[in-house]
Amino acid sequence: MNSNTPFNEQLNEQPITEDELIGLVSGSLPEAEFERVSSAVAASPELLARLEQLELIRDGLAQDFEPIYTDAENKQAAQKMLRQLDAPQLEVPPPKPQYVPTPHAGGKPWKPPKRTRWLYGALAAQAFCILGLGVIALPVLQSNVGNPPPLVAQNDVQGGDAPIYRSVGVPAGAVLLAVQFAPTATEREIRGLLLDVQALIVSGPTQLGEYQLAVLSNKADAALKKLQGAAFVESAKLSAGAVSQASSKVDRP
Amino acid sequence: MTDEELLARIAKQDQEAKVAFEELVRRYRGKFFGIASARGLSPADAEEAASDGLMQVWRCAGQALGGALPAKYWLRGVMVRMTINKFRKLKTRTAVETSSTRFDDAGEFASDASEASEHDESNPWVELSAPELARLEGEHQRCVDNCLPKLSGAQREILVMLTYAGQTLGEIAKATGESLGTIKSRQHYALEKMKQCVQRLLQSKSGASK
Repeated sequence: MNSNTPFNEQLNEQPITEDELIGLVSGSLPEAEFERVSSAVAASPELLARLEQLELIRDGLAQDFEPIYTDAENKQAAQKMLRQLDAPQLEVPPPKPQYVPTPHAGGKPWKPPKRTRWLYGALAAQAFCILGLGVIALPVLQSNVGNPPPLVAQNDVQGGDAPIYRSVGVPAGAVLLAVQFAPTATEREIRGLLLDVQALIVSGPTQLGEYQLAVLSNKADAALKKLQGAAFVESAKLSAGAVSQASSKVDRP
Repeated sequence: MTDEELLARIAKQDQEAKVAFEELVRRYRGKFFGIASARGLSPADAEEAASDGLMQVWRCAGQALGGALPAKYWLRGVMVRMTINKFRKLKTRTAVETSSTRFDDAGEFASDASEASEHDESNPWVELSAPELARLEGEHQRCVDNCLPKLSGAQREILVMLTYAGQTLGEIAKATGESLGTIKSRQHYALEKMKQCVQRLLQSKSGASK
């Protein structure tokens, strides 16, 4: 190699190894190496031929791993990804807490011990969840007083042989609705609407962004109309198996 | 429309780019899923990794432009990196979840290794000239397809990990608990077996045509 050759050209003159070719075919080549290897391969018919051979082997192996999606599935997936990409990203980091010097810490700012900092966060998150659940669930549960769940009551009265099911976390006899909110809907809007129709989120979102809501059976029609009428609700319908029965089986006395 | 044209449109990030992205998803979603799945991610995680990979392509499609080789190589690189990131997020092993049971016919490797001294260290493909290969491409793929089932399970596995799942020799060695030298040897004999099989088929076909 000529000592006057520029450094970049010297790099390009490095022979391409079989491992690098395999890395190129498989995608495991480090980003920093990609340009050098691909340029060298493109310039060499022999390397291109070797690359092609590896590519053929790879193609032969691919069939075992690659599922076939329908066009509709792919379109739906692409639109969901684009929605996620369009969603505003929170890029502003939260401000660092200001620690106040305390005499107990020898005049230095007090900080929680590093190993237990996560504990404070976890406790705060737990408290927030409990409060949030209480705010949403309380009105529904309160309105359920005096309204015995129809399905359970009916089975009990009839004394049939069918097993009785009571739901866990969902009021028995509640109607389940499948709802998709618009991507632009704010948490405040959704919460307001759920409180208004006295609905409780019982699951979701699914991969398609669908939530299941539980509403009392005597208020289901009104709730469905309100949900369908809301500007930020994309779709609202009765969920499959709309009446809540499942979850826990209770033995007949 | 070629992959490169699609990526050029996506790089513009306008309304047309969204249409191009839908087409890219159609072409590459299954391929991306396959890479993640071959590296050992569960179907649900592989699905997420594939989505992450495709969204990453949306963000940095411009980087693929002007490359010396077809864009598919760049796209695979993106997906392999996203799969590795997914493993890190899951706090699982970054290497493929290859347990010793996946190499259930490890004896095949042992017998391969015993043949080591009988083979030279020449490149598996160097005997085939480029023009010849280009001319025989379609026929060659058929030969490769015929030869792949003749590999042992372990040989096939190592080719999957190397050429499809995008694992490095070091990663495979770590995952299998074998030495790097052993893994390199296995790679060599798997490729050698493919070369010999393909050449034998090609020769028999050319002999038959004469």
